[in-house]
Order: sequence, then C-alpha cells, then structure tokens
Amino acid sequence: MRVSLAGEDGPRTRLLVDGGNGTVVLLEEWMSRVATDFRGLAADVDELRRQSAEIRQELSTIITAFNEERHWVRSLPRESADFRQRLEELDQRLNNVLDLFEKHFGGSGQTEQAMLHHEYAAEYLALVEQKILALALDVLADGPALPRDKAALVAAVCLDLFGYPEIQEQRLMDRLQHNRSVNVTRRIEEICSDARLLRQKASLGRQQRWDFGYTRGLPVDEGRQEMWPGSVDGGLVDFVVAPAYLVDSDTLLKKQRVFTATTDAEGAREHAGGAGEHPDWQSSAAGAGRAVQDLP
Amino acid sequence: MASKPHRVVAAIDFGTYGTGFAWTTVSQDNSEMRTRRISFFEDWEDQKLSYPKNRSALLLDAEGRLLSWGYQAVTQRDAMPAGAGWRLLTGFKMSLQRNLGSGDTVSGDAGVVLVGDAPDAFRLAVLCMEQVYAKARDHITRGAYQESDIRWCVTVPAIWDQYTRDLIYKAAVEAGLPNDPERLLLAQEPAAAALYCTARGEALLSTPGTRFLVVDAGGGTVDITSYQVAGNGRLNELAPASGAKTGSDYLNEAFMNEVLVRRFGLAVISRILRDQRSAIAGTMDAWERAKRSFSADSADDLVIPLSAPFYAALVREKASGRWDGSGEPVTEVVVSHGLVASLFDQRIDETIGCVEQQLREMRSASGVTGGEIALLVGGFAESPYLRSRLGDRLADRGVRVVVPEQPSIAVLAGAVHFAYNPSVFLTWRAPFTVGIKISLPFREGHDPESKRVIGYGNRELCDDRFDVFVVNRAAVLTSEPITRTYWPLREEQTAITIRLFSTTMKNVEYVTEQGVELLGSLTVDLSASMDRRVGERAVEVAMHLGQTHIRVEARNIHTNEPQSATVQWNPTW
Repeated sequence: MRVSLAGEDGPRTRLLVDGGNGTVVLLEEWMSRVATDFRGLAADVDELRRQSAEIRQELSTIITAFNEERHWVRSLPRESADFRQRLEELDQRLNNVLDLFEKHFGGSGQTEQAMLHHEYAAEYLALVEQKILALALDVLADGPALPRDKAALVAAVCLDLFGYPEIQEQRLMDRLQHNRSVNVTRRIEEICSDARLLRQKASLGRQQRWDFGYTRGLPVDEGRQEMWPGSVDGGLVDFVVAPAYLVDSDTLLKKQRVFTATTDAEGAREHAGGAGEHPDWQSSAAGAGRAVQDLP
Repeated sequence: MASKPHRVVAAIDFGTYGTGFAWTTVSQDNSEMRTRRISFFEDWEDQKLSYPKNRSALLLDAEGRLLSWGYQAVTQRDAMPAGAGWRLLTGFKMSLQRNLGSGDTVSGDAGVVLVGDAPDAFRLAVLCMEQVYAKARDHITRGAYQESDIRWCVTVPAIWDQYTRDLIYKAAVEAGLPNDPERLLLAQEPAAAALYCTARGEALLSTPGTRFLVVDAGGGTVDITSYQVAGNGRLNELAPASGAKTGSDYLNEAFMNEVLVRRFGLAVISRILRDQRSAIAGTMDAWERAKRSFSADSADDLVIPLSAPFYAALVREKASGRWDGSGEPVTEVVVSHGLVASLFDQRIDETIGCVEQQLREMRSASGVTGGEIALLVGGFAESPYLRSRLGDRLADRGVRVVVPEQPSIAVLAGAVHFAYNPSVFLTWRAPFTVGIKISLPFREGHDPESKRVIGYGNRELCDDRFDVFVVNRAAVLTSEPITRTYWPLREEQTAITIRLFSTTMKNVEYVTEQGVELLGSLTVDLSASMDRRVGERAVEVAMHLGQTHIRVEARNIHTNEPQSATVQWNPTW
C-alpha cells in the first residue's frame, strides 16, 4: 500500500492499494470491489449449497433405489429357483396331460404285453411247419406222397387243433388210427399239448382268432394268403392248409397258408371261417395206397 | 433342468436284419421303470404282416436312387424290369465296421446279397435311418407332441469301436435326427437289454452286489457285457464289452451252402437267386423259424418247407433239363438233427468262448467268483438249442442263465429305458488306455535323447509323452468328464493340436511305443490370445469317456470358445 498527498484544501491523504497487474487503486474502490466479490462468492456458496442439497437428494434417491435393486438382485436366485420349480412343475403337469392325451387319443402303438402275440404267432407257424408237417411226413412215409396229400393232412390237423372251440385230440387220434406208429402217437400228443398251450396264451391280451375263411376258386390274395409248397404256381385257391393268425379283428400276424390247384370246376365258393370245408384227404391219400379215416 | 425338456423318448433299434422303433412319454406314470408303458410300432406301410421290425433292406435303381425299403424292397426286387439294374442291399450295418462285415460273399441272410462294399455302408445306413426316422417322427408327432419334444436313442453293438459309433452318430444326424448330444444318444445293445430285464422284474438285477452278464445274440454279432448292481440300484460295468461275429446270420449262410446248395446244386441256386430272389427269401424265413424251434431235448430232424415259389422254380429247373441237384424237386427239406446240431455248434462254441472270457474278466474285476446271472437276449436267444447249450456250460461254472419273456424286443425296449434315464449307468469300463500327446520336463537318464526338445523359456522337455486320461479297464464315471489343462510349447504357437492316442497297455510312457494308436485329433485356435503371455494361453481338454459315444471337447480358456466339439476318430481296424 502506498500513501499519496494531494488536493486544493490542503493535503489530503489517499490510500492506494495494489490493484493487481501492476496497477494501484484507491482503498475505497478496492474495498468496494472486494465487497462485490464477497457478495458474488456468497451467492455462489448459496448456489453450491443448493446444488449440493439437490445432489444429496439425488444421491439419496439413487442409494435408496440401489439398495432396493440390490435387495431385488439378492432375491433373484431364490425367485429364479421358485420360477424354475414352477416351470418344472408346470412341465411335469404338461407332460402328464400330454401323456393322458396320448393314452386316450394316440393309441396306435402296441404295448409290451400286446407284442407277445408276435411270439405266439411265430410259435404257431413253427408248430405247423415243424411238428405238424413232420407228422404228415411220418404218416405218409410208406410211399411217395404228393404235395397235395401232405398239404391236405396238415390242413386236417390244423382244423382239429384250431378250427373248434376245443382241440379235437380224439378226432385226430381216430383220424390217424391206421397210420399210428409209436412215433406218430408221440407226435400227436406233443402237437396237441403245444397247441393247447398256445391257444391258452393267445386267448389273453389282444383279441385273437384263427382265420380259416377263404373263397375257393379265386386267385391267391397275396395280402392275406401265402401258397403252401407244392401248390400250382398261379393256380386258384383249393383249400386252406393253415389258418391265418389275426389279432384286433383284422391285424394279420401270420398269413393263411393255402393250397392252389389249376382249375376249379365248381367255380368260386366262399367258405366261412372256423370249421369250414376241407380237402378230400381220403381220396387223394387213398390214391397213394394208404388207408385213412374220413375227414369232418 | 435341461434347457429344453424332452417329453417323449424314442429308440431306434437299427439291426442287421431288421429295424424298428419304440417310444414312451415322459410322465409321472412312466417314471418307474418297472411300470413304464412303452409303445411299439408294428404297422409298416406296404407290409402285409404286422411286425415290430421292418427289414433293414434297400432297393436302389441303377443310378443309386432309393426305390423302396424294408419288406417292400425285398418283394419289389422280383418285379425288376429286365436290364433295369436295380440293387437290393442289406447287411450294411455290419459293413460299417469293416472287420465285422462279411466281405463280398453271398450270405444266407434271407437269400439277399450282403453289402460287401464298406464305403457304401454309411450312405445306405443314412438312407435306411432316414426312412425309419421319418416314420417314427410322423407317428409320434401325429398327436400333441412336436419333434423337438423327442429325445432319440440309437442302438449300437457293444463291440463297435469309437470310429464306428461316431459313424452311426453322423449317419443318424444326416438322416435327420438332432445333432445334439442331449437329444441323440447311442445305447450299447447289451446295456439296453440289461435295463429291459431289470424293468421286467428280474428282482436280483435290482439287488445290490448282484453281478450279471448280458449275452446279446443277434443276427450279426454276439455282444457280451457284465455289470454289478450298485447300492442305489444303478449299474457299474465290470469289464469292457466283448463279442464276435457269431450271430445267427452265419447259420443262415451255412444252411444255404451246406443244405440248399448241396441238395439242389450251386448252378440251380445261383439261377434262382439271380432271377427270383424272394423265392429263396421265403425258404430262408422258414429256416429262420425252424432254427428257433431246434432243441437239444428232441432228436427229431428239422423240417424246412420250401416256399411255394422256390418249389415251383425247382420244378421249372427240372423241366428245363438244367437240374443238377440230387433226386427230385421236393416241397420240403429234412435236415438231420446231427447236421443242424453241428451247424449250431460251430457258432455256439465261439459264443461260449466269448462268454467265458467275459466271465473271467468280470470275476477278476469284482474279485468274486460264482453266483452270477447270464441274461440271454436278442433274436438268437429264442433258440432253445443255444439256451440249453449255454445253460449247461455256464451251470458248471456257477452261472444261472435267464432268458426274458420277449428276448427279441429286449434291446429296443431297453433303449427306451436308457433314453428315459441314462444315469442308471454309474460307471463304464474303459475299453483301452486313452490319453494325449504332450511334452513334459525332460528326465535325465530316463527319457531318450531323441525326444529332448527346447520349449518356451528355454526349458528342456521330453516330447511324445503319453498323458493318460484313463487306464484300460478302469471304471469311468458316466456323469463327469475328465478335464486337463495344457499350454503351448512355443511362444509363436497360434494353435494347439490335441492328438488322442489309445493302447491296450496299462502302463505307457510315450505315444511312440509299440501298440499305441492314433485315435484322432482336434485343433484349438490360440490366435485371439497371442497378446497374452504363454502361461495365460491355456487350453482345457474335457474327455466325456463315460458315455456310449465318447466325445472330446477342447476350449481356449481365454476366449472360452470350444474349437472342436468332437474328435475325428480313426478306425481301429
């Protein structure tokens, strides 16, 4: 600060102060400036205080929100687990509903129990092709048998075994009484025993039947019938050798075995299923020089 | 919870002779294996007879396009216009693994030529699976289910190597099945059969400590596995699967050559095979039935009726003067009990040998001898003769043979059970020692000088070391993969190639040892991690050894991206 003296009425004292940047200003002026500055600063401080209060408020809001969020996030695993559990339960319920729907409206698949009929059908055909055919070969062993003779004998045995409500064992024994060696008797007993067991098993589960029905004099229906060996290739159905194995009314597990001949003088004739008509085994076998009993 | 729960499980039994499918719904009612209701399909299109399996047969035209499949293919083949060049193909399943195929020979498999050309087998397997998959998918989704609801399972012989299992997985994917290890499982056939027997109420199979063998005697192979029931009713495999190509198809071949050709002459049979294949097929079907009724209890000869078309063909041969058979054409052939027994015995002796080998292994693994059960399943298990021969032999060794009620559907039904809950198997046995080629610190005086290499940081390493993941015959948990971490050998390395090796040896140090084979390899890209230090460029290898279809996955830990999902297996033959 510097002091300078000047003026008309005598010396006056002026107090000068450093105004900055190499200037000097009067003390009053300087004080006025400072006062102005202070007022400005006070206003700034007020503004800052106001802003600070606002920020505090905002921060507080944010912290509150954050705490809420944090709380929510902490609860997420539990909520997620709950949600997952609900989904799983819903999934299980949906699965159970779909399963129920499938049971009631699906229904074209077969159960394991139902599949047993495939085993039985295979057993049936093995019985015909193995044991009954072997029996026919034994019975007709005396001389050269025509294919039709063998087929006719197999047909007669199949009818006694599967064409009636009960196995016709006595009728079978009687039918073959003149050809009955010890071996033939053994075979008949074994065949009847096997057939009885098979019929018993086949009667369980799916509805099953042995189908003897055919129309004589028509060509072979390849969808339902199969020619027995020795049949006339391209011939017409003469008689049923072995019945078809059917389940569920018309589901074919084994085709009907039929014997075919070249012509059929009588024309087409329908034969019902069950104990239908049968080849004249006596006449053809008699032609080969063997005595046989009448067929039913 | 799986990302997408399956609501249906379906199994495809892709067999040498026949292929079929079965399924069940995932529900509370089906949660218990013993009461689970499995649905079987039996109404194949164009098949006059209902049967759970269609034939694994394809009819292709001269350009290789599919004309028909299954039974229809067999019958349509005879309607081939002259010179059309159609090919009827079957037996391709066994040709997938060449050492089990039957080569280029004519088989007695229902009179149809087996595929001898292995490269064709994959394409044919795809074609066949396409047909059965489409049928199964359409059938299961005709109601409320969608295809994406279904978890599939395809059966594989236990003796197939990883290459062939991988091949069938790829064939299944190419045929349209989902390329997702969660939705497409492979089930070992005997393992599936074991589950079927458990489900069918064989009480001992749920009793902890019980040890049992499964002998799956099918058309092409006999597969044998062994298990021990764990405390929780789950199953531990006792020894790796074994087996041989001694299935019933080989009996068919013997019948063709030893009976039909001898009786009617090679020229006659060859002409009928060429001109009227289904005529022979009908007779082979009769033989198939006859052999299933052949028993050691009876001395009766076996009667095989010839199919009517075959007999008619023989009569025509005779009439044309080209007959070179013995005697006259006949409507049936009678084969002596002794001859049939000898045909059976040739194959059964081999089968018994395999069973006894597995029995020794399971006894060695469990440390217990006697009291085992042998489950006999598969189509050939219906043979009373096989049952009695095997039963007699094993009874001498303290093993009881059990045949389930329906052995022919055991694998198919069991595969459905497996797909429903694969975790029923607790452990498998490693069929070989498996590991990868790595470099480890060089052991002075022990490692060969030729294997000394300098790695990152001038470290002296031994190359070609065999880092064992699992030792031959060791039990492997089905649920957990084995994981290891590896680092690159050199600073400038931008990729790591994982090379997998296997050997039957239990102690192995180097991948260059005799008997060590390269199984395959996969490469992990490290280019995205080159800004990191070598020690931070780690690769994690996870080997899923506990599953039927072994998978190896590797990932760059830094990028966390799997580079290769499955290994390219090499055949072991």
